[in-house]
Amino acid sequence: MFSKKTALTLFGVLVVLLMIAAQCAAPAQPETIIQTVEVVKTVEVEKEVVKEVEVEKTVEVEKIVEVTPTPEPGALGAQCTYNAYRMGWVMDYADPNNIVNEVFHPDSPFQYTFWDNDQFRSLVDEALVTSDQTAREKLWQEAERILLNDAVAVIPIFHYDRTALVKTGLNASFPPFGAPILWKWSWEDGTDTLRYRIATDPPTLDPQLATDTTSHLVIEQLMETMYGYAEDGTIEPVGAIDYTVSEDGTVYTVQLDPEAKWSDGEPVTAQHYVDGITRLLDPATAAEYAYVMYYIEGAQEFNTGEATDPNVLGLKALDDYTLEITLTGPQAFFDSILAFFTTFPARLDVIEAGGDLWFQTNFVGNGPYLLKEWVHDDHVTIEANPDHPRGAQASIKTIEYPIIVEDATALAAYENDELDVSGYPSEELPRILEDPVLSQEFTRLPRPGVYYLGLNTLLPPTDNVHFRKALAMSIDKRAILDDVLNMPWRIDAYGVIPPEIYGYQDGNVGYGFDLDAAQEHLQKYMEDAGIEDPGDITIQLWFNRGNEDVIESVESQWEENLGINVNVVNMEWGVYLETLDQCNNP
Amino acid sequence: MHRFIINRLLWGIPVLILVTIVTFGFMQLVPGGPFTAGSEGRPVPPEIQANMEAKYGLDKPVWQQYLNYMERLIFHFDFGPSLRKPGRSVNSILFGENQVAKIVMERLRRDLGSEAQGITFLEEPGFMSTEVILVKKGEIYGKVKIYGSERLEALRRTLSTAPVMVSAQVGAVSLLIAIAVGIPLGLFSALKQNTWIDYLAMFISLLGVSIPNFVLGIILIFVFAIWLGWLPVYGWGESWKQVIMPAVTLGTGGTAFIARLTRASMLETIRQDYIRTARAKGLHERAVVVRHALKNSMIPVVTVLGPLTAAWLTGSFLVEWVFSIPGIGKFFVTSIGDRDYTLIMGTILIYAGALVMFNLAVDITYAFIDPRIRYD
Repeated sequence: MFSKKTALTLFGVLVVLLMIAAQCAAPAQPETIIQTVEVVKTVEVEKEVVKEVEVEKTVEVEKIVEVTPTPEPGALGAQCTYNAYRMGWVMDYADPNNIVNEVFHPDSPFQYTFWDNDQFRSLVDEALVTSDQTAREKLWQEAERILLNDAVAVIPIFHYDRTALVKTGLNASFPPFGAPILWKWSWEDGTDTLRYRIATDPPTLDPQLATDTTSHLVIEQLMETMYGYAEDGTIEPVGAIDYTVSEDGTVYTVQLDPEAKWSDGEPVTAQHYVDGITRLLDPATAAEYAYVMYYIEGAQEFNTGEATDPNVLGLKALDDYTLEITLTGPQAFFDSILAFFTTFPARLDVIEAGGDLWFQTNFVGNGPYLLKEWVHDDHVTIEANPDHPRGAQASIKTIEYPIIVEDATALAAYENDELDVSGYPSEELPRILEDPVLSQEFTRLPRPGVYYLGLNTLLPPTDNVHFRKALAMSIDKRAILDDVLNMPWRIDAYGVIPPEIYGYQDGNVGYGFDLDAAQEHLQKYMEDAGIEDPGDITIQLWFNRGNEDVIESVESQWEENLGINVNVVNMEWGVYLETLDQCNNP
Repeated sequence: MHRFIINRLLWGIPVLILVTIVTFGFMQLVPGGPFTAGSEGRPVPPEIQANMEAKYGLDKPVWQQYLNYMERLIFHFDFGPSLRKPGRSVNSILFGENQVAKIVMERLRRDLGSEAQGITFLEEPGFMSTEVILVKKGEIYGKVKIYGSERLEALRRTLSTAPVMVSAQVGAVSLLIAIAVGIPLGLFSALKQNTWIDYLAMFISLLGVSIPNFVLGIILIFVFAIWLGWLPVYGWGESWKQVIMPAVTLGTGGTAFIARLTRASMLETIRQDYIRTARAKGLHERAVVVRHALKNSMIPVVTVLGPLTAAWLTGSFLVEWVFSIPGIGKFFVTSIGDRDYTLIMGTILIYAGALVMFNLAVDITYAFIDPRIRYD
């Protein structure tokens, strides 16, 4: 009774599913470690170290090589055969804490290098309690130097930026953090509309749940928090008037602007800020960026479910317009967080009444613009709120965000004068840079962050610091940017702190391109390991799809400059992160 | 015939259930979950992932997740919340938003001005609601009547702007082009075999099959939107002009394919004995072709039209991508990259349902065009 057609249908569906699965499935398993032969020889040298770690392991001693004492050798999963992996970080707020500590601290969930260093740990601890910015800068810089020059746990490649086409006659500004503040924008001819292309439907406009740039480009016009970023990267009061810090650096008291109003006319009170941050931290909300607020007393306990009472949080509305925030300890950078979107206020009455849909049916915000229309996958339109102090000042009254996913289509629409701000497909870049009009409209926007390679400090041969230095010194980053990516304007990175942030050290940290020094370090490693021919060394370089250009260039540079073999393993993004995650938490 | 249809429809149910089981299983097997990757290209810390999994019930055993999903789907026709678009349901992503609520809100904004800010509904109105209670600042604000004309307008908007309907519209126009151009082209080629007409038609269809949709779309934009300025570059639903380029882009490959198939099938048919008999009877050539050859040569064409229709009506990834059309085609690809489990299930189920339906339609059509097939 199971007719042929039904069976065929079923078969067809199965084939489709298999194809989907094949698309996502993990790549061929990387080969097992090639270095085992050399390993036996180094054991003699390292026996002392091994004994310190675990006495009962002596039987299997030939498997343990040059172990850095602190991390347990067993922490490395059997599948973790990478020597180097690609990763990037775009910063959230203007303090090196957001990158040196939150990303590269040995305990950070965002890095997979297994590195550790006591001096680095104490420098970070000290930086967090140092309120003087010059002194703090020195500490971050020293910590950065240990990470890059002593430990060589990461190799920065370049600093991120963003580019866009912006029509002539539009006075646009892009602060390094947060979305562009569109109420400050204007047209020279006084036009009061703007068409700003976005590449995807905003996943959500819920201020506590949105984390991506597209959503924030809209939300940050509809919402304001206590402070905002000016074009030069400094913070300026928006929803607040001023703040004070207690002497021990743990209590921030923020004076809010009593004139601030929600779009339905209600005043914005300190309690709304308490509600907003509490909602972000509530495990039931499951906000991705909740961890950014773990600096607040009780936040981690509340967010991880250890404490269920929101009163454990160090948040207090002293009166209608005074907010008190108590931190777990002195966090000298916390003023930057007051400008970050994790501190948006919330109107629980609106959210509860509207269910999950509140932000679509009737968005009540405290920002200069109002949400007028959101047609999914088509466009979002916002309008200046005449009752809002900054909304009333806005020169551009109506902003439309057409949703165009394909860059080539967006460029066509831009050239057809259907858009004012747009992206472009990278293949078109040479033409844009040569075009007399488009080259003038081509704009580089700041995007503080770093694109880097992390090195596995547990697995041979990258467990050897000389080998890691050899790797770091044999990449010509300028050549990658100029010749491979065709982005001559992009900044090559030697440190992890980006140029937009205080503490940037330019070429004074990390290692530049130096083939002679690289060869010296390679020789030292080969002597240590008893290897005669660099051709006997093979390393695994993992990366995720979409980075082929850069990674293939690194691969060929390492192979040519050092004479070693590099196996590259390419994975789909989700698979990649999960595989790396499993290595860190086996 | 009725029994056959009912029988086949009933058989569709186990097929779809099997599809849900296989899809659900495969999703779990693929490494990386919806919350492994954050939205700005960074990993999500484990404790945050745990919160997210608990919120959507992904911390439960897989069989329990599956049963919960099926329970919601079967008894409430609820495809669940999207995992990567917080606050949005898969139903609203695929079938469009609550247009009644939108229309009432538009009216309130018009009548009340800024006073309408912050008003929400006590309960979301549906298509059949005649009135709805309004809430503001946690208190009942009032009650508004929903007029019949507004409900009609909501229905009209849903039919024209719901993502599944948008995809179906693009697919339907493309399908019309493919059939209206492809079949005559194939017939002419076959009847004028080995003449310049045949060669020209087959050359055109070779081009049509060979040019990828994506390239064709960009070429069309370049020529007709930028160069000639006749058509808008992108978009959907504002003007009939926006239909042309997407439909031609999607339809070209199918047109060419159908033309070649029709030609081959027609050539085979007109060499059959019964055609020779018809000609021997002294029938006019036109009658031979239209009455005897045409129907029979359509059997392979109809066979491929089933899955083709199912695929086209559920949206085309590339065409929607290039022309920024708010359909469901792109979710077939993006939902997998995002590991948005519920959205993957929703898109696969719609496609599987369409396949079942259109293959059934093909079988029924057989009964009309092939005298050897009867479902009695």
